[in-house]
Amino acid sequence: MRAALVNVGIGNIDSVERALRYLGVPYHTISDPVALSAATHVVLPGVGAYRAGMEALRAHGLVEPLRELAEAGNTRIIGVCLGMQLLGTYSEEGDCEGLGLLPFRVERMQADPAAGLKVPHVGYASVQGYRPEGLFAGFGERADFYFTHSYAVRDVGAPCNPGLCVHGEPFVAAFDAGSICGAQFHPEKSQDNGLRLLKNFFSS
Amino acid sequence: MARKRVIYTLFYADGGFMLSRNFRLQRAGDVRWLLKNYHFETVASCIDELLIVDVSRKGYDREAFLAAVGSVVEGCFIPVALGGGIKDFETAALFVESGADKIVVNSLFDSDPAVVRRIADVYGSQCVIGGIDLRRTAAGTVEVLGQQGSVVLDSTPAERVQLMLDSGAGELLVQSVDRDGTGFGLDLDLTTVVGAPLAAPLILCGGCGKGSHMLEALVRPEVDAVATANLFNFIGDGLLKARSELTAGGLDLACWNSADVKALRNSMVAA
Amino acid sequence: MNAHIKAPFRCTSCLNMSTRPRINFDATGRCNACVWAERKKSIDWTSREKELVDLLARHKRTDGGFDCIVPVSGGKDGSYVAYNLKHKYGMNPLAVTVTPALALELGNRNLRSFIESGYNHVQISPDHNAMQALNRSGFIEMGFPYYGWLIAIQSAVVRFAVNFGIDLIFYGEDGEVEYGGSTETASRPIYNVDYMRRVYLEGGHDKVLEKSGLPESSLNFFRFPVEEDLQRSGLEIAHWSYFEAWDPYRNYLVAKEHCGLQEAEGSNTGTFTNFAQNDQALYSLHTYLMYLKFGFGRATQDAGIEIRRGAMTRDQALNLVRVYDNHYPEEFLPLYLSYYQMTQEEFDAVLDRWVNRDLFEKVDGRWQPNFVAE
Repeated sequence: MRAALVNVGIGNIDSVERALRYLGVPYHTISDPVALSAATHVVLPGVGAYRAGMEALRAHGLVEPLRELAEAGNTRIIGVCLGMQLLGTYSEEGDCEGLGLLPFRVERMQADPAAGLKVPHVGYASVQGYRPEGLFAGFGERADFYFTHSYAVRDVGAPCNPGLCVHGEPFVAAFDAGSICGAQFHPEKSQDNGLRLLKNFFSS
Repeated sequence: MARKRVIYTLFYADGGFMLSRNFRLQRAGDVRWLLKNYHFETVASCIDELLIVDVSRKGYDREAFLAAVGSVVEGCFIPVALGGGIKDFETAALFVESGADKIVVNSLFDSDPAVVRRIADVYGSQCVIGGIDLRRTAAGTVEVLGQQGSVVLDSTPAERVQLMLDSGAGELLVQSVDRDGTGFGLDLDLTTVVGAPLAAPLILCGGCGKGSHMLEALVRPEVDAVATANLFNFIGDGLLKARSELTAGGLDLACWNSADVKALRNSMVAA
Repeated sequence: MNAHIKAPFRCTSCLNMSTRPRINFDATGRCNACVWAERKKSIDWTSREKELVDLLARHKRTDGGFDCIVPVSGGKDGSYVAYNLKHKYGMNPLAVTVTPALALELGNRNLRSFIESGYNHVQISPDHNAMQALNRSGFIEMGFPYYGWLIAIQSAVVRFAVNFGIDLIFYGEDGEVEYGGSTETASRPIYNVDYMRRVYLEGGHDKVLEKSGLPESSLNFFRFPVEEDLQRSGLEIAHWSYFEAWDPYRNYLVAKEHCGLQEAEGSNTGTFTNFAQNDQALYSLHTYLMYLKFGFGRATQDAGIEIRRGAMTRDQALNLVRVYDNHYPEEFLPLYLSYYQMTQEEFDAVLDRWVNRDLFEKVDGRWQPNFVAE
C-alpha cells in the first residue's frame, strides 16, 4: 500500500496525519501530481471555502491528474470534509465548479432557529442507512461522527452505499462508491468510529 | 441533527495551567501536572471537544503554548479549539495550521472585525467561535466586558452578538464573568439576554462545578453545548462521572469507547 | 490494630473523618458539620439577626468610641465580619491582629489592604521569644505547631478588650460547629473564656504556660484576665456564625470586593484553593500534623466546604483529596527548622511522635497512608 495525503494548504492536515500515524498507516504527503500516480490510496482532506479549495488544487496542478486517477479506477480516493465536497460538480458556496469525479452538487443548509436547527451544523450526529461493508465494515446500525459544515450533499448521484445524517433534511454523511469515497464529517475527530472508518478505507 | 456537547476548557498561562475565578487566575500546575491528573487519552471519551485558551499575562509565547497543546492532545481524536488574544489573521492561521479545528476570538471584534471576516472567509465560519463575556450589575442590567474583563463595552449583549454573527462567527461562547470559577452553576438566563434562539450554536459557560450544573443547562433547547474550565472539580474520573450523570438524566450524548480507540492503535502496521 | 476499634470511616456526605475530635455522625452516616449545614437552611435567620441587632444595641456607641472588637488576620473571614459590623450595622469596630510567628508576605499585604480599606486597627505582637517557646513546646508536646499563637489569638484579644474597655468581641465562626466537632455553641450566641480554654485550647493552656518556665513578664498576652476582671468588664464574646449563616466562599467574595483581598498565585500547600489561610507559614504544618494524627488534611477540609455549598460532589472531592491531602510541607522546611531551632532529624522525630501508626507507615523517611480516601 502506498498512501498519499494531499496537502495543498486547504486547512491543516495535522489531525489527519495524527490519525494515520496512530493507525500505523505508512503515508506520504504530496502537493503535486508526480507522486500521485504511484499511490494506491489518496486522501483529500480540506477545511475552508470551496473556491479557495479548488484554486489551491488548480495552483498545484492536481485537478486533471485527480480526474484521470478517478477515471482509471485503480486508486482508492477519499475526500474528507471540504475534500468530499470538492469531488462533486458544483457548490453553491462561491458558485463554483468542482472536480466533477461524481455527479453531485453541494447546497447550503437552511437554518431554522425556532426549530432549533442551526447552521453551521456543529457537533456529533448519527449516521445510518449504510450497509455494514467496505467503508462501513464493522459498524452497527448507527454511528456518531463529528460534523462541522454549512453546506451538504443531498444525493451522490451514483451507487455508493451512502450513510445518511439528518439536519432538518437528510444529507450524505459518507459514501463508498468503490474507488471513490467521501466523508462529510471529520473521521479524525470522531474517536473510535472515525479511526475505524479510516482503517476500513485503507484495508481495501 | 447534532447532539448536545460538553466542552472542556483549559486555561494556559506562562507555562502553567490555571483555574479562573471571576477572571483571577490560580496556577494549578504545569503540563506534567495536567497530564498526571487528567489522562486526556481516556478523558477524551468523556467529553466532546477541547478548548485551550492562552491567557498568558506576561506576553504570549505561542511556540510554548502550541507545544503544550501538542502534549495535551496526543492520542486524542476530538475537535480542539484554540484561542487567547488572537489579534490578527496570522495568529489565527498559525493556530489552524498547528491543529486547531476552531479558533475563539473575542476582543478582535472590537479592534478589527474585518480580520474575523477574513478568517471566516478563508477557513469557514464553522471554524470561528465568537466569545462574549457578560456580567450582571447590581442595577439588574447585563454588561458586556472586553479586554479580559477589564473594561465595560458600549454595546448591549444582543448588539454584540449580532456584530459577532455578522462578522462571521459560526458559534457563540457565552460566558458569565460573575459565575466564572465559583461553582454556583451556569447562568441559564443569559441565553435570553443574548437573544436565543439564534441561528448559530450557543455554548454556555461560567460557574459549572459539577455534573448537575451541566445537566440543567443542556436540557434547555436553546443551549447547544456547555463548557467548563474547572480544573479541580473534574480531576481524575470527574468528567467520566459527569457524563454518566448526563446520560442518566436523559441526554442523548455521543458515546465513545476509549478502549476501542486504544485497540485501533497501530492496527494498520504491516505484519 | 485493636480489633475492637472500628476502622476509620468518612462522612457519607462530605469527607470528614471519624477520627476528627468531637465529631459525630447521624443514622445516615452524615457528620455534624453536614447536618448543621442542612439545618442552616431552615433556621430562622431573621430572628437570629434580631438577636444580633439587640446585642449590638446594648454596646453601640455614638460618641465615636469603639464598641466592638473583631480579631482579624487580613483574611476573608475577619474582613467579612468587620465589614458587616461597620457598613451594615453602623458599629465602630476596632480590628485587632495578633502577629503570627512566620507571617507570609501575601498575608501582610492582605492585612494592609484590609486596614486601608477603612478600619481602625491594632496589632498585638506578644513577646517573640515566649511565642517561639510556646509554639515549640506546643509542637513537641501536643502536636500543635502554633499553640502559642492559638492561645494568644484568644487571651491577648480578651486581655486587650478588658484593658481597653471594649466589652464585645466577634470571632468569625465556631469551627467546631461549622466543620465537625462539639456542637455546644450552635444554639448559644455568647460564649466565654471557659469554653475557649476547654475546647479551643483543649484544656492544656495553664499547664503549657507553667511548664514553659517563662517569666510572667513575657507571658502577659498569653494569660486571660482574672475572673473578677472578666466579670467586672461584662465582656461578651460571640461567633458571627450564630447570627448569620456562615459561608466561607461568600466571605471570600465580599473580602475580595470590599477589602482588597488577594489570592495566592498558585494552590496553597496541601489543597486546591488559593484564597484562604494565606497569613502564616505554620498553618501548613498544622494541617500536615492534623493529617498525620487523623488521616485527613487541608484538602479534605476545603473539599467539605465546597461540597456543602453545592459546588462539587463527594466523588469529585475524593479525587482532589487523593491528590492533595498528603503533602509534607517541603517548601517551608528550612523556615520551620530555623524557627524551632531544630535539625531535620529532631523535626521528623516530633512528627513520628504524633503520627497515627494505624493509618500510616514510613516509607523512605516519609509517612505514607496505608489507606486510600473513599
